[in-house]
Amino acid sequence: MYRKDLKTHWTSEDPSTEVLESLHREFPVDASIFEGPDSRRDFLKLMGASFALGGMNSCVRSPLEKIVSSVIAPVSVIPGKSIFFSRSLSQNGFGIGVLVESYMNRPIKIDGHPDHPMSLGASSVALQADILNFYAQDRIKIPLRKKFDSSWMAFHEDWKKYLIKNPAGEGLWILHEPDYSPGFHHMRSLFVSKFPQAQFISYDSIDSKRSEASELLFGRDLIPFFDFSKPKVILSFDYDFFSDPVSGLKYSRDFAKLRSKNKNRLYSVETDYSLTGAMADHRLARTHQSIQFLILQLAFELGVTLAHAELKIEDKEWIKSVAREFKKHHGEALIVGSEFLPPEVQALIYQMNEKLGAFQDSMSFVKSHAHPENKKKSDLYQALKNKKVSGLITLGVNPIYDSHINISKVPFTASLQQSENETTEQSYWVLPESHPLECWSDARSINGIITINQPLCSEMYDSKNTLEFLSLILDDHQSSHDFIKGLWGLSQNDWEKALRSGQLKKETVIEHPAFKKVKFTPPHTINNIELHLKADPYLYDGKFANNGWLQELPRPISKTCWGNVALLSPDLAKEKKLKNNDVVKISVDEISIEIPVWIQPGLADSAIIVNLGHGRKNQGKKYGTNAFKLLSEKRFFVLSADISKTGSVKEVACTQLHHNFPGTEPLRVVDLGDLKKVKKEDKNLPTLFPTAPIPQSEKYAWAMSIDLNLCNGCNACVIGCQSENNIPIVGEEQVKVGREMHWIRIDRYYEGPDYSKVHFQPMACVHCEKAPCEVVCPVGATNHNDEGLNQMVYNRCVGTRYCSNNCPYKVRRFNFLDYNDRYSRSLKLRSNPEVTVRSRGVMEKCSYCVQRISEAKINADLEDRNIRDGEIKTACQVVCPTQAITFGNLLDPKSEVSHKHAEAHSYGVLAELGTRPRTEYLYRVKNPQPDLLS
Amino acid sequence: MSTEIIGAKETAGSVSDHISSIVLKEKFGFKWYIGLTLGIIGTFTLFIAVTYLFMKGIGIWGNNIPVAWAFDITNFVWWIGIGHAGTFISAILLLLRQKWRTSINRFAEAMTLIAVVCAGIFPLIHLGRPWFFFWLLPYPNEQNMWPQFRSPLMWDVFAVSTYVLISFLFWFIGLIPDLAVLRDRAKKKPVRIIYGILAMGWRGSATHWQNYERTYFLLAALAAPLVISVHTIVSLDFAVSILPGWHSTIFPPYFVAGAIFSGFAMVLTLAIPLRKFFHLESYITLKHLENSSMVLLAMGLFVAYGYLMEMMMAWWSGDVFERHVAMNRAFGPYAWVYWCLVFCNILSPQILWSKSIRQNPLVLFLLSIVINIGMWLERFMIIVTSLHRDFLASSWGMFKPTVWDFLTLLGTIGLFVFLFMVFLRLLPMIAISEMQKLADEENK
Repeated sequence: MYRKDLKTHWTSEDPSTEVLESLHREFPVDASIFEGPDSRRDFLKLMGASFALGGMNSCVRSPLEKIVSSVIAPVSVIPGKSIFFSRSLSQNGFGIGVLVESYMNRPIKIDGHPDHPMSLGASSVALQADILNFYAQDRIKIPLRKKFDSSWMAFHEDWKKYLIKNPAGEGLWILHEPDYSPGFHHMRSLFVSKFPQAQFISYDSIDSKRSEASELLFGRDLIPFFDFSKPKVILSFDYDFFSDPVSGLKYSRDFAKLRSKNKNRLYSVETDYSLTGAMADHRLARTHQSIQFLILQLAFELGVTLAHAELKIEDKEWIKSVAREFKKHHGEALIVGSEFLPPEVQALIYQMNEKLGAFQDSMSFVKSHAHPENKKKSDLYQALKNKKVSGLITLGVNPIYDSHINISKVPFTASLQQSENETTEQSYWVLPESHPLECWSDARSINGIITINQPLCSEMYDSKNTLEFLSLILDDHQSSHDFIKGLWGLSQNDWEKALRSGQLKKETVIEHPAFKKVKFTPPHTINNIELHLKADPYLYDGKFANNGWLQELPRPISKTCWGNVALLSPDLAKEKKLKNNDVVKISVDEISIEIPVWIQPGLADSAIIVNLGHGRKNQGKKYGTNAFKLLSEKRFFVLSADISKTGSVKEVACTQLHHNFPGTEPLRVVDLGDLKKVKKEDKNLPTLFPTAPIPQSEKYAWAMSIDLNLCNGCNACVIGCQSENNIPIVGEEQVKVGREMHWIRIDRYYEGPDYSKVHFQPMACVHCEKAPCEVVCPVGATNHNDEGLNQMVYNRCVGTRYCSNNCPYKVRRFNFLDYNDRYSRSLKLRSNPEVTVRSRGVMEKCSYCVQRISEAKINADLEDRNIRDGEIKTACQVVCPTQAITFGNLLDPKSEVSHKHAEAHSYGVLAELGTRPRTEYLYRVKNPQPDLLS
Repeated sequence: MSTEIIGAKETAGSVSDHISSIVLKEKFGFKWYIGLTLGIIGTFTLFIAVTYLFMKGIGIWGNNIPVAWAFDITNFVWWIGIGHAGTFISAILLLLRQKWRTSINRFAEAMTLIAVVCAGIFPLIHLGRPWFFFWLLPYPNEQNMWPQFRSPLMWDVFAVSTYVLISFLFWFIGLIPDLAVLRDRAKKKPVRIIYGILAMGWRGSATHWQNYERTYFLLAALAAPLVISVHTIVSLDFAVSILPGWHSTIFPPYFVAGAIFSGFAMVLTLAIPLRKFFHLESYITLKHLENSSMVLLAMGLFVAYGYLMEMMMAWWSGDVFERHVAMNRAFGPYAWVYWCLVFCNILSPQILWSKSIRQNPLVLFLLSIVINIGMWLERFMIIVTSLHRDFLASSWGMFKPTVWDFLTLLGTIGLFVFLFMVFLRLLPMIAISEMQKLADEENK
C-alpha cells in the first residue's frame, strides 16, 4: 500500500520534494530537522500531501500549538499513560462537554465531561462513536478537483477566478451544518461583510416545526428547555426526550433523580416505540393524528381550550384520569411534545404547561442562536430553479442525498467533507474537512456554556475545518488557533484555564417570553396508512452511515441493525399478510421505495415507521434504503402512504429475535406498592455436596449492580464497552448468523399479552462465583481470581468454545473469523493500548474492565492505601446517562455496591442455577396510577 | 433357513486358500477401484475443507453463539460411536465365547480404527486455534502449565487415545498368525519380506500359540471396559455441563447403547456388500446377519428407552428449562430432526422382529443406512437443539450449516472409504486362523 501511494504521488507532485519527504518520514516526530516553530509548520504543510497519501506513520503528531490537559499540564507526552483533554463536541450545532482520552497523541476514547452540565460525565452513542469517524479509512486526504488529486493552492486560484465574476458573492450559497458557536458566528459576519451577497443556510436535513411553533407563540425563535428532576408527573406526546441529541443526556440524568426514588410517574403517548415509551408507567400507542386529538382533549380537560375532540371512550377516560392527576400536581407536572407536531399543537402544549405551573421550574426557554438572516431550503430551491446560483459551497452537509436538489448546472461547486458522499460526487471541488478533534474551534452549549475546543493532535491529512476554510476563501489564511485566540483575546493564564476546565464562561440564555394566544385548528385527516420518517437513532440523517459501530448497534427496541426496516404493528402486518423480512413497496404519490418489513409490537396500528439515514451510496456501503426519496419540498416527515407486498424477501440482521419463554423470570418487575413485599433471596441454595471453597482476597471482591429501574435502553454502554475494549464489528452477514461481538448487550423483554410494555436489561458476563465456564475449559484459559473476577486468558485459549456452551447467560463471544481489522493503518491507531486485541479462534467476554482495576491498584499501591469506593468506574458505568450501573468492592460494607446488593429487591439472574453471579440487578419498579390499572 | 456360522464345505485349507488369495491376487476388480477413487475424492475434499478452515477459522462453518458446537462435535460423536462395534465384537463377544463373532471381527476392528481416526480429526480441527492442540496434553513445560483436569474434554483426550492404542494392539496381535500365512503364500519376494517383518517371526509353534492366546485374551479383557468407558466419557462432555438437554445422568449408558447400535449398523453396512463382492457367503453367513440384527434390535430398544426417559425426566423434574428443551425438541424449529430420528432409530428397527427380514441382506443393508443417518441426527439433536434455545430467551438463535460443514462431513466419509479400501487390499479381511479353527470344529 505504501509503495503504491508513493507511485501516485510521483506522478502528481514534484519528485524532488517527494524524495525529501520520504527521507524525512523515516525519522520520528520531533527529530532534529525541526528548527523553529515556523519552519516546522511549513515543513508539515509541505508534508501534508505525502502524509495523506502514505496513510499515517507510526504515530499521530501532537498539535503545533500548546494544548492543556484537564488535570495536569504535562511537560510532554508521558509514555504509557493516557492524558485527558476537556473540550466539547457539537450535536445539532450545540456543544456538549466531553473528556477525550489521548494516548501518545492519539485520541482513543471520548467520554462525557463530568463538570459539563449537559453531559455530567455521561455520553451518548453518537458522541462516543465519533472517535471512529476520526480514524475512518475513507476520509478525504487531499483536495480533489474533478476527482483528481490537487491542492489547496489550486483551489484558491480557482476561487479567485470565481470572484472575478462575482466579487460580492452574487449567487453564492453556503450550506453549513447548524453551528451556534461564537467563532462560527463571528466568521460568518466577517464573510458577509466582504461578500454581502452571499447566502447562508444552516442546513438540517431533518428540520422540525419547533421554530415555527415558537414564532407562532412568542414571535421569535426560542427552544424549550426542561428540568426533569422537578416534575412528579410527566406526560410526553411522542417526544423521546431520553434520545434528544442535544439535551438527552441531561434529561436522562435529571429524570433518574426522582425515578431512582420512585417519586415520579411518566405517561407516554406515541406512535413509534421509543425509549421514553419503554420507561413510561403508562403508555398509549396512537397515530400522529390521534395524538393531536388527545392533546386537544387534554387541553379541554385542563381548561386551556373550549373545543374538545371526538375520542373513543377508553381514550377519553385515559385523558380524564391523567388530567385529574395533573391538576392534583400543580407546579409539579410537565407535558412535553414532539417537535414534529403541527405548530399550533405545540403551542397548545406550551399553554397547558403554563396552566399547570410548569414554568416555575421544570420548563424554560433558551435562545436558539439561529442567525436571523439565514435562508431556508426553499429559498435555495427557488434560486436553483431561476438559475440564480453561481456557486454552491457545502460544508459538511449532504444535500444531494437528503434532498432533491440538482446542482449539475451550478458553475462553481465545492464541498468540504470528512469523507466522500453523494454531494462530493457531484462537486467540482472536493476538499478534506478536519475532524473536530484535530483543530481549534469554540462551542456554545444549549444552556450557554462557552467552551474553547483544542485539538488533540495536528491534522492527520491536508484538511481544514469550517473556520479555516472560510478564512482561506476570505484570503485571510488564518489558522483556526489564531482565529479563536484572537476572537476571545484572553490572557495566557485565562486561556489555559479555559482549556483545562473546558468551560470559558456561562452566558445567560434563559428567556421569559410572553405568550400569544394561539387558536387550535383540528388536524387534517389521514385515512390512509401513516408513514413516519424518523432520524435514525444512531446514524441520524446518514451523517454517520460509515461508522461501523453505529451500523452494527442494534436499534433499541427492534434490535435490528445494518440497514433500515419498515416497522409495523402485528395487526397491520396481519391485515396486509406480511411477515418479517418480506420486502414491501411503500409509495407516496408516485414515488416509492422498497424495504423489508419488521413487525414491532406496541406500535400504533396503521402506522409505519421508517428510519432515515440509510441507503447511502458510498458510505455505509448501501445498507438499507434511502427513505429521503419519499420527501419533497412540500412533504413533511409524517405522510400518508400506501404499502404493498413485492414478493421478494430480504433477511434483516437482528441480534435478538422475538421469543416467549413463559415460566422464567430473568427480568423482574414489581409495582411500587408491592416493592416492600419483595423478599431477599438466599444465595446459598440447598445442596447435598460440601461447598467448594471460593478463593477470596482479603481486600477486594468486585461486584456490579445494575438498576433496571433506571436503564432506559439507550445503548451508550454498548458503545462505551466497544470503544474501551477494542471490540471489533463483524458486519451484516456475521450478525445474521449470530456472531456479533458486543460484550454487553441490552436484552429487551416484553410484558403483557399485547406486548404493551418493554423493559431493558443490560447483560454482560455476571462474573459467577461458581462459574460454569471455568470447570469445562480443558486448558484453564478461563479461571477465577481471588477478587472474584472471572478472567479470560486470551493467550491460553485454544477455542474449544465449551465455556460458551456451558454459560447460561450466553455472554461469551467467540472470534469465529479474524474480526479485528489489523490491516487498516488508521484504525489500528484507535485501539486502546491497555486492552489486548484478540485474534481469531479466541473466546472473549466482559472483564469488568480489568485494565481499569489494575490501574487503580497501581495508583493505590503507590500511595499505600486501598482503592476507594467509586475510584474504579467501568466503561459502561461511566457513560450511563441515568447512572444505572454501580461497580465496587463488596468487602467494603460502606461501598455503594454493597448497599445495593443488600437491598431486598437485588437479585441475580438465573441465580437458581447456583452460579452466584457477582452482577446483581435491582427490580424494575413500576409506578402505575391506580385509576388506570384496570 | 441356515443357522450355520460357516459354510458346510469349508475346511482349514479352503479357508486359507480363499481368504489369502483375495489379498495376494495380482489384480483387484474394477469395483474396488471405483470404491478407492470415491475414497480418494472424498479424502481430497476433506483436505481442501480443512485447509480452508485452517486459513479462515471456524467461521466458515455455521457455528455461532449460542450454537458454538454443531456439525463438528456431532461428527465426532457419530464416528466414535461407529468405532465401538469392532472392539465390542472382538473383545466382549470373545470373552462371552460367542463363536459367530469370528468372521466379522477383523474388518469390524479395522472399521473401528478407521472410524476413530475420522472421529479424532474433529476435536482437533474444531479448535479455534488448532495449532495449539498440544496444550490439551499434559506435557512437562517450563511454565508449569497443565491442562485443566476437571474438564471432560480433557478426559476425552485420555479416553480416546487409550482406546485407539488398545484397539490397535488388539487388532494387530490378532493379525499376526494371518500375516504369517500371507508371508508363506506370497509369491513375490518383496511382498514376502514386508509380510515377514509384520508377522514378527511367527512360526505357529505350540509356544507361540500359547502366548498368543494368552495375550489376546488379556488384551480383550483390557479392551472390554474401554468400549464402555470411551463413550461414557464422550457422554460426560455433555452430562457434566449445566445445559438443559445435556445435563442428564442417563447419558453414559444411553450413549454406550447408541454407540453399539450405530456400530452394528455400520458393520452391516460393510458386511453385506463385502460378502457379496468377495463371495464370502460361506464365511459371513445369514446367521451372522441375523445375530447382528438381534443386537441391533436390542440396542435400538435401549436407545428408545433413553429417548423416552429423557422426555419422562423432563416432565417429572418439573424444571421449566428441562421441560422447555423437551418440548422444543419435539415441536420447535428443529422438530423435523427429532421426528426423523424417531423414525430412523425407534420405528424402523422394529421390522427386525421378523426372522425373514433378519435374513434378508438387502433390507438389512438399507436399514443399516437408515440407522446410521438416524444416529447422526440423534447427536445433532442433542447438541444443537439444546444449545440453540437455553436459559435466556434473549440469547436464542438458530444454526444453519454451510457448504463447508457438509464438505467436512463428506470428506471424513471419503477418508473412511479410502482407508477401508486400502485395508481390504493389503490385509485379510477375515481372520484366517480363527476361521480355520472354526472350520475344524464345525465341519468335523
